[in-house]
Amino acid sequence: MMTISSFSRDNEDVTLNTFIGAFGNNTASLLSGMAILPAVFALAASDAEAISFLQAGNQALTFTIIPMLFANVPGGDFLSAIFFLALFVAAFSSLLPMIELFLQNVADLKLSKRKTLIVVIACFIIFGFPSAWSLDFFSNQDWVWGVGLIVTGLFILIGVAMNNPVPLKKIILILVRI
Amino acid sequence: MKLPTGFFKYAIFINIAVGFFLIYWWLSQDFSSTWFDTEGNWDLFGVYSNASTITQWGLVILIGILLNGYLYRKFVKS
Repeated sequence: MMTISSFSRDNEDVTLNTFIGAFGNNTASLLSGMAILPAVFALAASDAEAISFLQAGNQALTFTIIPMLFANVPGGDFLSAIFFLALFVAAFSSLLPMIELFLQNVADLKLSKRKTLIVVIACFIIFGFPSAWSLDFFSNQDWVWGVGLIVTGLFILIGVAMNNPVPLKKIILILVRI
Repeated sequence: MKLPTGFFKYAIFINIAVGFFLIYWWLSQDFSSTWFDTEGNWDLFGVYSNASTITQWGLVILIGILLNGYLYRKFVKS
């Protein structure tokens, strides 16, 4: 969010955009949850199997239940292709701000563009490889840093609260408009 | 859309309490509430274990605190 907000235009309403982003994201998550849970129980042979699918995590739901679901609906092949294309675009569009955030931080070290690129690619390979190699490692990191986002948010909130929120809001709005 | 300043202040403070509650709630779920493995050791390598989560958070916070002064001098003060 911070990376994307740094590309805001002068006349954009930050509060409204943040509200729309959070509302859209949470609405999509709730709708997906309401769709996937009935699908799991409808497609599993028993309640125990359905629960085992749910306990297997997001990967099992995406790559086991969703293909099973599309195999049982008319035009499922087409819908399945659209779904996984949309999933790929969503994953890629989430990756870009992550790359940009890291790139900007490394660029602030005043390295040349070539060295910055080498550092970024090397870090992505070194830190990304274990997750690509082991699904357990990936699940662990997904869990630890997924919940860790709340900790990050808490640090920002405490920092803002300790420094008086009202003047900070004005500073943020002035900075955004520069 | 312009939200009143009072709302901003209220949202900041209420979200600190919400944040602490959410962390407690996530870590108290059945599948993540383990701290020690079957042999009684700190369960560092459990996929969803609280021990692994807290250790990794602590490590990164420690690195952040140690580098805080350097990063401030490098990026903010300069």
